[in-house]
Amino acid sequence: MKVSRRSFLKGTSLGLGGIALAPLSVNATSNVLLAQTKRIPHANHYGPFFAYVKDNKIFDIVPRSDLDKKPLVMLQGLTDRVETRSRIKYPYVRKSYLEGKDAKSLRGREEFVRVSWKEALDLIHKKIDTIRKEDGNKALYNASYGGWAHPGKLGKVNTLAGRFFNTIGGAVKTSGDYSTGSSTPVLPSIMGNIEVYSKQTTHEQIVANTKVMILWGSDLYKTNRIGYMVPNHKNEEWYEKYKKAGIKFISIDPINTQSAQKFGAQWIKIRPGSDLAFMLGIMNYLYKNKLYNSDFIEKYTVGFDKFLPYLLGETDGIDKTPEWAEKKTDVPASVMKELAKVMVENRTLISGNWAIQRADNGDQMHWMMIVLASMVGQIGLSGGGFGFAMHWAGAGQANSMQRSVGGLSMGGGDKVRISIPASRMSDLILKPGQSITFKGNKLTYPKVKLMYVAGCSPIGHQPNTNEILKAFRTLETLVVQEPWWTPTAKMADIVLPVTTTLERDDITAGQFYSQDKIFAMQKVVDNAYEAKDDFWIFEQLAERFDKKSKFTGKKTQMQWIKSLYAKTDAAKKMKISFEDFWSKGVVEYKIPEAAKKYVRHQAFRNDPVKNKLKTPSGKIEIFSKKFKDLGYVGYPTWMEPKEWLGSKEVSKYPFHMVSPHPAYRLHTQMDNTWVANAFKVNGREPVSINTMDAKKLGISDGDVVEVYNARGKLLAGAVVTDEIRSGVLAICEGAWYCPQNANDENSICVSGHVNVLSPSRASSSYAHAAATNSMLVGIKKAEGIIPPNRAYESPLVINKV
Amino acid sequence: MKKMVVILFISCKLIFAADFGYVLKNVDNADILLYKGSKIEVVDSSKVMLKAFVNSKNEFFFDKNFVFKIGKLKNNSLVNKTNEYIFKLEKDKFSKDPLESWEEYEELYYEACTQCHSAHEPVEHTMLEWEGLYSSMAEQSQLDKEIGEKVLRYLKSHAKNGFVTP
Repeated sequence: MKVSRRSFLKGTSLGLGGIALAPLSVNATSNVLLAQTKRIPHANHYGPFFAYVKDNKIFDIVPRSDLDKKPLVMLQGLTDRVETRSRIKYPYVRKSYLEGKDAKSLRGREEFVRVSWKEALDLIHKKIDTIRKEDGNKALYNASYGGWAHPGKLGKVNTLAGRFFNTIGGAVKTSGDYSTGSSTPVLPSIMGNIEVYSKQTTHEQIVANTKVMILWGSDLYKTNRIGYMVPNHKNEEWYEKYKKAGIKFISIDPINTQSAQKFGAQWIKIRPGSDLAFMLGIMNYLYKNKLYNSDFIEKYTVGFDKFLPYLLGETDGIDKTPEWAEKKTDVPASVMKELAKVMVENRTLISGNWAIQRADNGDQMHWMMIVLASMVGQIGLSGGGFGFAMHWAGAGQANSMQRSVGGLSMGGGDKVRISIPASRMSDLILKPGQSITFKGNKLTYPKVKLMYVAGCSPIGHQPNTNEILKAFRTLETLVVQEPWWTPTAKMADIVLPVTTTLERDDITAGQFYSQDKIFAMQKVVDNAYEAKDDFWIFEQLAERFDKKSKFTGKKTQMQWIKSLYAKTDAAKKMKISFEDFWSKGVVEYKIPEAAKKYVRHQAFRNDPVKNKLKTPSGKIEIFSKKFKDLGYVGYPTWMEPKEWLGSKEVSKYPFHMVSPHPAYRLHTQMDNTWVANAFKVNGREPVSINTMDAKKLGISDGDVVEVYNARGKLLAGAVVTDEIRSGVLAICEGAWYCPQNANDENSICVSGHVNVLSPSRASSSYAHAAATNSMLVGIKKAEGIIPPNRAYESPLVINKV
Repeated sequence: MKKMVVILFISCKLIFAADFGYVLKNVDNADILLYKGSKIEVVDSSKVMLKAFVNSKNEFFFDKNFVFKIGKLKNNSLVNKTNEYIFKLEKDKFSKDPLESWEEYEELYYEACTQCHSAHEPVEHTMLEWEGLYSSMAEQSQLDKEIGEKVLRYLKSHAKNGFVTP
C-alpha cells in the first residue's frame, strides 16, 4: 500500500498546490482519494517532506526531492511513530506514588494510573513547590538535555524546560554534552576554539586540493544522514566528487565502516583505545627521519621543545617508536612509517571523529591529533590540516552567510548556578556532597530530590544502565514528558504525554553549517489522544507559579513562530512574507561564491600575528601552562585505558565493545518504528562479530547471543562479518532497554541496549566526560528459551477515568 | 585585647576600603571613552579613577594582555600614575551594583546563548577562553555583530579573571 501509493504520488503533479490535484490518468477511486487529500509541508531531523493527510490520518510521507537528493528511509517511519502502540495516550501517575506511599523501589515495576491533566500538573506543581521551599531550587534537577527530540526552533524541548525552570529560579542542569565532552573543555586552551562544532573547510576546497583523507573513526556517509536541524544530504553528492577527484582514503578504525567501503579506503585495523600510541609512533618516525615540518612548528606552535623529550623517551625511558606503538595498536610499524610518509608527501586532511574521545583519556585524543597535524605542517592550507566535525550536520557545505532562524531561549533567572558535566548523572544522584574538579573548577554535587526529563531518554544515553536505574530508584520524584513509553518514561512517577513534531506547528532551519534554508514545520495531524505540546505543558506549570507571562513572553506559539521568522533575512532582506513562506514551506538562500573558498585555520596561517589564536600564546599550544598548573603533564601523552584489549581483565572479558551511531535511527529515536525494526536481528539489536571469532565460539549469523560483563548483560542478534577486526564487537547505541524481569536488580536486557555494558567512569579527571567506548565484554551463544523483546510495549496502565 | 585589634582592623578596612562603581552608560567626552559596565574607583565626590592598561593606540584594556578592551584614552593628562587614570564623573553615571550596569547585556547573553544549550556560568572561564568559545559559537549562532560584542563584554567582565565577581 505505502510503496504503491508513494510511487503513484511521485508520478503526479502534486508539487503545485496546497490541495492535491487529481491527475487524469488514474482511476476514479484514486482520483477521489487525491482530491480529498491535503498536502502539508514539514521537515525534521531526517529531511524535508510533504505529508499527505486525509481525515486526520497520514496517508503518505513523500520526501521533497527538490530539496533532498538522497531521502532517508527513516522518513517512512514517521507515520509509524505517530500511530505506534508505544504512544503515551494520557497523563499517568505510578500507582504507589499516587497513593502517597514511599515505594521508590517500585519504579519501573508497577502499573500506572490514568489521571487528568489538571491532576498531573497540580501534582507536579505541588511537589516542585514543596521542594523549593524546603530544600531550595538546587534540589531540582532539570535533566532535559541535548535538544534532539525536536528540531523546531520554538519546540526545542530542552530549551523550553530550561526556560520554565529559569522562570522559577533555576535547577541543577547539564554542562557540555555526551558527544564531545572530553574535547570541548580542552581544545579552547589548545586551539583557542572548540573545533568540534566549528565551521569546516568546504567541499570545494577539499575536492580541489586534498590528496589524502584520513578517516580517523569518521564514518562520513553514516553520521551525516541525520541533521541537528534539517539535512539536505548534499554531502553524498560531494563524496562522489571526492572519489572522482582521486582522493586516497585511509580509515583508522576497528570497523571497516560504510564510508571506508564506499571510498575504497585502506583499512588500518587499529586496536580500540590505542590511537594515542599510534599517533606517537608516527610522530616519532617523522621526527627521527626529519620528515616533519619544523618551520610550521617554529612559527605556529609553542611547547614542542617540552613535548619532544617525551616523544623520544627522555622523560620516561620509553622511546615512542613505531615498533613500540605496534605492540599497543596491533598495527605493523611499517604501516605507521608508510602513513607518516604519505601524510607529509601529500596534501592530507585528517578527519577526526568524536568517538575516539568518548573513551578513557579522551581529553588527550584531539590534542594529540593537533600535535600530529602540526608536525605534518598543513594546518591552514587548503585541503590540509585537520577537521573534527567533518562527520556531522553536513559539514563541508559552504555557509549562506544569511541569517536563518533563531529560536526561543532559556533566558536568565537561574540562581542555582550548578551545571554537572554530561554523563555525571548517576554520580549527581547517588553521591550528593561529593566534590570533583571540573574544568579546573570545584563542583560539589547537591542533593537532588526531583528529576525532570523532557524530550530525552537518559536510560538511552547515560552509561551503565543498571547504575542509573539504581539511581532513579533513590529519587523522591521523577517526572517524564514524552510522546512514547521510552524506557525512561516507564521508570517515572508522573508521565505527561507529548505531541510529536507532526502534531504541532513550528519553524526550523536547514543544515547546521550551510544555514541555507528556513523550513515551515506545519502541523500535519491533530494531537493524538490527550497529547499536548511541550510549550503548553510548561506554560501550564508556569501559570501555577504565577510565571505564565514570563514563560510565554506574552505570545502564543504561532506568534512566536511569526516573530522568529520576522528576524530572518528572508523576511528582512528578501521581503518574503510569512504567509508566502508558510504556504510554500521553505525559503532558500543562495550560497555566495566567497563562502565556498573557506579553509579552516587559513587566516591564522596567512598571518599568525594579526590573526593569532585565542590561546595564551596566540599559537597552537602543544604545551599548555594552564594544564601544567592544574597538575597535569602539560602536553598530551599516552596512558593505558582502564579497559582495553591490553587489560588483564581480557582473560575474563576477551572482547572490546564499541558503540557507534546507528544508521537507521537517531540515537534512541525511531527505534519504535518498522524502519529500525527492519534492521534488528531476531527482534533485537545486532552485534557485529568477526567471522573467525564467531567460528571459535560456535556463533552463526542470526544467532541470539548473550553479551556480558560485570556491569550487566544483554541479548543481541549476531551479525557475523569480516568488516570488524578480531577481538572487537560493535552494538550501535540507542536500542530501547528492556529488562527480562524488571524485578531483578541486574536483569538481562533482552533488547540489546549497549549501555547496559558501558562504564560510567569519567574519561578524565579534567573533563569528566563519557568513556563509553572503553569497555570489555564476553559473548556467548544464548541458551534455553529466548525471551521476547517487549521494549516497545506500553506498561500496565489503569484507566480509571 | 585581641577583640579590640580585630574590631580596629575591621573598622580601618571599612573606612579605607575603596568605593567601586560600574558605569551605567558609555562615557564619551573630550578626555575619555569608557564603555558601559567598566569598573571605576571613587576618588571623591566628583572624580573617579580607572585602573587600566593602555596600548600603542591609546586604547584602554582591563588586563595587561590586552584581552578586554574597555575604552580609549583621549587626554593623556588624566594619568595619575602608571595604569591609573583620574577623571570627572557625576555620581549618577555609575552604580555600586554591577547588575544595574550589566543587566541589559546579561539578558542578551541568556537570550542569544541558551537557544540550543543551557548557559555556562561566565566565571567558569577566563576572558581569553571566552573569546575562543565565543568565536567557536558565533560562527553558527548568527549573532548580530553589535549584540555579539555586548554578549562578549558581559562574559569577559564576569569571567574567572574578570572584574565582576558573582
